[in-house]
Amino acid sequence: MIINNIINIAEFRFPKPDFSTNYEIPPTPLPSPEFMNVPEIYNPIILCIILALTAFIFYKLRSRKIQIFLIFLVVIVFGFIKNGCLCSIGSIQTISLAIADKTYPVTISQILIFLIPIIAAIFWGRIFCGAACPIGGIQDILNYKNFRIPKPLHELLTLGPFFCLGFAVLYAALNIDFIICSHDPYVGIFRMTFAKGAFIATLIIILIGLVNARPYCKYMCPYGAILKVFSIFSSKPADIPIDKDCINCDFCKDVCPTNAIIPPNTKFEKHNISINRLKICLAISPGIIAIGLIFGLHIGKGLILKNPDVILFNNALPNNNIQILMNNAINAEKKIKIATMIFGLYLAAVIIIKLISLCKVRQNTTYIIDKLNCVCCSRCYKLCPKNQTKKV
Amino acid sequence: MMNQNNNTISRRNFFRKLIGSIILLCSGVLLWKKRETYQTVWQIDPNKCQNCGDCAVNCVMTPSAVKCFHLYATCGFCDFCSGYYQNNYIERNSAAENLRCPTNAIKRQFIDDPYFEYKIDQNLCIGCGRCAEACQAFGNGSLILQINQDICKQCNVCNIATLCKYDAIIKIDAKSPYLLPEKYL
Repeated sequence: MIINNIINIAEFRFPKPDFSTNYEIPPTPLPSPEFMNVPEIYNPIILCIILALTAFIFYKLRSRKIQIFLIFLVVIVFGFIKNGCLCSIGSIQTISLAIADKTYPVTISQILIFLIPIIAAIFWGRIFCGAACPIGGIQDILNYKNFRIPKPLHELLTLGPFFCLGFAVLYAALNIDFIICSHDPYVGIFRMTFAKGAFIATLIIILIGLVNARPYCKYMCPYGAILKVFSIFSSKPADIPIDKDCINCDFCKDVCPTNAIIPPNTKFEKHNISINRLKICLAISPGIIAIGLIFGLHIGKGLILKNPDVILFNNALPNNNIQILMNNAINAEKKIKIATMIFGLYLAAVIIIKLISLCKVRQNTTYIIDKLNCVCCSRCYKLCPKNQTKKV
Repeated sequence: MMNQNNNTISRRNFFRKLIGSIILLCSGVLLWKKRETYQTVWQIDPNKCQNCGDCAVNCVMTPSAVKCFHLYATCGFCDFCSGYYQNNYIERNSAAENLRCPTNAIKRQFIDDPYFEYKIDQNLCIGCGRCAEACQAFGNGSLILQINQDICKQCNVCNIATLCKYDAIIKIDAKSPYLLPEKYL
């Protein structure tokens, strides 16, 4: 279709010359894309192998040293050689745009890159974050110490991944922007190029990462939010030999980058859920839903003006096609309104679920690992004094 | 007894997980099968492109991945090439004030009286589109702007595509990554 139309621009004002010499007209050199040399289906296979290696190192070898090797390998290969573009985090946007827009082309390897870490999370928890993710890896390397921030602030900030996920899906599904890619603070390091102002943001987040481990994983990563949800189904998190060997030294709790290790709670409580807090949560939940809806509609007003159909209708002069343009603009407006209302409800639901989960009282007599937050970095193995002897 | 119980539970759990992951995979395959799927690359649609020169500055690569391509089969091999010389040139030589290309990326070579071959040095070209504009206005239109797929990083969101005033940058099948008038090739 397109190629037939192109012929219009090439006009023969000057005829093809007859050369008296043996000159032959050379063909136009057309360099083929770089990535065509490596078939795309290799990428998910490489990802599978790396995930299997991570699971083996984390659950069987239980060795931080070997895992550090794997992390360096992943950061170099996926990060610096592939420019950070074997990215499960970014594939959220491709998938959500593909679901929303039926004509958007996706390849099977993009879908597999999105699904394989999720399937791994169903079986073994968030092992993708541990060593297979180049962004997680570079944060793991660029970390000196882990100072804790106050717990209420931490709990508030852990809503961040879910908010980022919501915004990323909303913007991608409406085909406005791929905000994960354009606001990723670490991809500038892999590519050695920085957009305007991105260098300062990257520098700040690296400096934070030096004193507070994995800030992007904990408070921003939208794919981490998905893996968190799916790792509910994983059978066991990292199994530190806790029962009788434990000497309550708290080393593992202090070194954990994501506050996933919960110390024993010796206080006796009647119920698993504190009833008073739950009552307050349920009482304020209608208010949160209402605020979410209002927020969604408010965002929708801004997004409607960015839609190309609406822009076209606003700028069009009255002509025969104005009715078609108006219908398109009205349809786009309806779609955006519904999408942003769902988005507002989603934000409200996230906040309410978080509040309800805070009502839970843990009654553990030993150290337990919260499998939703554990990123399988195997730092706790390294520091546990009882585990030292077992190490290979 | 205790052990056996544990085993059965874990087996049931395992099958549950297996079924869950198979459902996920099947939905992924459904998503894939329901549409025409192909690997895509960004390319300039020459019908819509107005050679405005925005690509030269907006691309994330420096110099831009947009380059000028010369279709030899369409070229008239003129002595006075409007893509090579300025409109108000002083003398027909390779002095910079006479040439249209700001980086001297077009190389001129004598072939046969009065014909000259023009060749584009892809390393020097910055994709400003001045030669393409002039050639399409006064000549055969053999110089056209295309994205050099060897240089293009294939960003998810192409910066020049979002900023293009004419919506000229589109996604096409990677198997035929250039949009050229094939009839003359």
